[in-house]
Amino acid sequence: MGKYSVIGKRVPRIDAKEKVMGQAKYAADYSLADMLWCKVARAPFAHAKILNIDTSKAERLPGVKAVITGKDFNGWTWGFMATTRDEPPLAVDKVRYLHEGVAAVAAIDEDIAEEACELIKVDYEELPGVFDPEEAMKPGAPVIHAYRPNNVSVEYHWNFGDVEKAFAESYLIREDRFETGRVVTGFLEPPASLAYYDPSGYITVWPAKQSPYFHYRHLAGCFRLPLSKIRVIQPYIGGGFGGTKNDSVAGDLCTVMLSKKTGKPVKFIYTMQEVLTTCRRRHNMTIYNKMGMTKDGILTAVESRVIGHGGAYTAIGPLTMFLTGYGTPVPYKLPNYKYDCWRVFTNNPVSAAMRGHGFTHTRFACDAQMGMMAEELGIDPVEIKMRNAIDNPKPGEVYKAVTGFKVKTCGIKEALKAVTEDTIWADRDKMPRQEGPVSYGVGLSGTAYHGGARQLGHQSCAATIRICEDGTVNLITGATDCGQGSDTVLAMIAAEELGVRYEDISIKRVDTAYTPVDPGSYGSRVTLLAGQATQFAARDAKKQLLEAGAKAWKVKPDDIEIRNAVVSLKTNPEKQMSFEKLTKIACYEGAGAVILGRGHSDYGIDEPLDFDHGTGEGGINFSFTAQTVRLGVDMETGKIDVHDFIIAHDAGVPLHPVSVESQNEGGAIQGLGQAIYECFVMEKGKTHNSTLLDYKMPRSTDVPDIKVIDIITNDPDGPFGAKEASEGSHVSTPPAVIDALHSATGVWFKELPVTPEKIVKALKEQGKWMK
Amino acid sequence: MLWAIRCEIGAIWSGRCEFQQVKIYINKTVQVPEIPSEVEIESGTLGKLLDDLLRTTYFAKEIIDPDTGDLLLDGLLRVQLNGVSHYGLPNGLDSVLHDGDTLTLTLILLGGG
Repeated sequence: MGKYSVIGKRVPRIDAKEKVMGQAKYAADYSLADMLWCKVARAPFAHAKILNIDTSKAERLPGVKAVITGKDFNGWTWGFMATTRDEPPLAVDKVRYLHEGVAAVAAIDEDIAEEACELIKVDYEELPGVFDPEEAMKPGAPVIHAYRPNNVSVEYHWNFGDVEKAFAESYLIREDRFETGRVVTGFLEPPASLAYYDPSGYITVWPAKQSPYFHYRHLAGCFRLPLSKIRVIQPYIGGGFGGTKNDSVAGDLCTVMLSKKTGKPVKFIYTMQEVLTTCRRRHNMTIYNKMGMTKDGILTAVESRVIGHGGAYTAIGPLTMFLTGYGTPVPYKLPNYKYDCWRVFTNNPVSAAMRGHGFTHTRFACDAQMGMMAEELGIDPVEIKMRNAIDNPKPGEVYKAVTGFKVKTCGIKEALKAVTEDTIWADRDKMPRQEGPVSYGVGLSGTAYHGGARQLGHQSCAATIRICEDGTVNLITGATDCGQGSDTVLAMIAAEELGVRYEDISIKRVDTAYTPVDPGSYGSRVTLLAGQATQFAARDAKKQLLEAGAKAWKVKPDDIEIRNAVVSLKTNPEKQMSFEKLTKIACYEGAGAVILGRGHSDYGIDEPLDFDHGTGEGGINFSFTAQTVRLGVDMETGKIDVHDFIIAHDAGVPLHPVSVESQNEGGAIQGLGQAIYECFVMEKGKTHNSTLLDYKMPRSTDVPDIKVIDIITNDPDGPFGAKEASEGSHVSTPPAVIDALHSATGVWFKELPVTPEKIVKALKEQGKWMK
Repeated sequence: MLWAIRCEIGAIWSGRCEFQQVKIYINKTVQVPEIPSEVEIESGTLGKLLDDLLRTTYFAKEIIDPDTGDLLLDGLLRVQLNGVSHYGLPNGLDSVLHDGDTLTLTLILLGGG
């Protein structure tokens, strides 16, 4: 890292001052003169036919300017790909989940808009609902979508190697049922947008989106306008984590339609209750996992049958189910693998993507099951992981998984070594095991995640570098920093490549009228793909600058170097000029010039994803994470106190160590919530815990001490060797917590979250409850 | 020209061209129940085959322009004939199909986690 001037340095975040000083403007902070407010009227049934909607009373309410229903959208529906676009902005013929939008109002203030929603009279014919996916798959179950009469939204059946033969030859086979929780992302900023449909036919929106170019395409499709007439201006984003902010919500489309009808700007802000009852949530999954091993604990086969609780619409579910199976062959060598999955429609709110997308389910099941088998075989839990872990390929070589994807660098063994040499694991037997009713345990996990998500040319991205004549630099990308720190990292990459100071870079937020198209923030792709585009753009600009400098000094461009904003001659370092002077020469000499550098990502995808067969490359490279957890369990009340996380994460090369650490910490804390706190309490489609008071996320006082250890593998396919950092620790935390709970209580818990009630129940069943 | 080539494939009866049945293999990256893995058709064009395959699917409204009735493939499906994108074929969607050709339909994903 010593060879770099900026990369690897602990610089302050580029947007820190604006955020700390309260100067950053979020979607809800924007307003325009004569602006109206939008509210969505929602259904009181989870499954019902819409017989009639009477909006006349609402329209007559003073202050109401327009009312729309689903029919205003002329049958337009949206979804992740052409075959699954089944979701309308507002329900038209029937509602499929409780509180689905059926109409929307624009009024002069929020209160009037809300009152008008209550005046909309909808005649429904309630239909029987189905809320459990396994019930929904049975013949005769209520049908949610006519195009899927069996309620199976998507299903895949993959088979690699010879699973039956491998099981027949295995020394030990285990079959377990696991379940992951129904959880929400937990962003602080709810969905919001200000929209203006210009009467001349242009749409401008200021929405809270972590992937604004999806919304841009949705608006073009919904309003049948060319993309050039859609302008999305990106405010600061208050957290994303996938799902809702990677998609459009009813309010997004209704505000534009209401603006079109009224000719005025229209704004909406969802309440947190709307977020918790109607927005995207993670698929909870039931995983029937069968694992085989030799007597020495070597993996022979895994067979996973997974049922994904899909909710009312498809959304991004096909990719979720793909990734759930895709992640099983890493980070352990797996020679035989079978995966059968079904994503099932129910009358619950829609399930979609979330941090740790897909991988989090099956990695939890496989890692926990591996621990159980180590116990049965009498093999040390570290040893069994090390025996199966993928080796770090030598430079130029690759590890090819049974499904065909390739791994070029793998730090899992080094990560496992690092966390188990740390005192939390190494000295675990020296620490007290029992203090009063509290039993202590230390657990271990080793997992992986995929970064740089990309498919075909449609998810390419670009960057432009504009050199200003005062020596400062504008970096223009379509990438979105939704809080993860990517603007900082992209600015660091630009500074390093150009040879200027980090503080000389100014990065522009997305404005689709000017910034290049970019897929958005998901799949841990921004640092890798927008980072590479930035790298190329900076090199292009630098080439032009060096040519101008070479002309001025009468040398070759290669004779000149730029470092820390100082330009010098390689053969005579005393000969110098400032970067600012070089930019003036480049911009003003002769006929003058405008120095623009441009680049686009070109990390290839060898093979596109084949959803039906489980093959293909979903992105660029894999991160690897090992984690230990130390916790205490009150054996009377079941209360858990988590004391320590040690996380060793292979992010290739940490470009901005502060961001790598904070992303690992954030991912792990969110994973802790899913391991022991969070879950929607549902009954017949109703979300009972629809406030953040009742939906329990970890608070600052629940957060353990966290130590992050960097594992350096220097990947050939990441800018400056980088891989993802954030989703990996989210995936590694639940299995490490489960292992620690087993260590403390002697019980293997297989359903997330492991709440105190579940602990007490299990302790009672096993005669371990301490009264 | 195309007519002449196609006539070589078929039998010629009194100056009239008779077309052969051709088998086309179809690869998909995601399940679409209405689209089989192979079809036997009278020789025709890539565009005609796509029209026949896609117009009756449950997602037809996504790929048929409501005004013109034409197929809309951009941003929805990547179409390849024997591994070559239809944009790269000299005759594009008018390319004549031959026995044993492979059509690959890749769903384009507009979205991410």
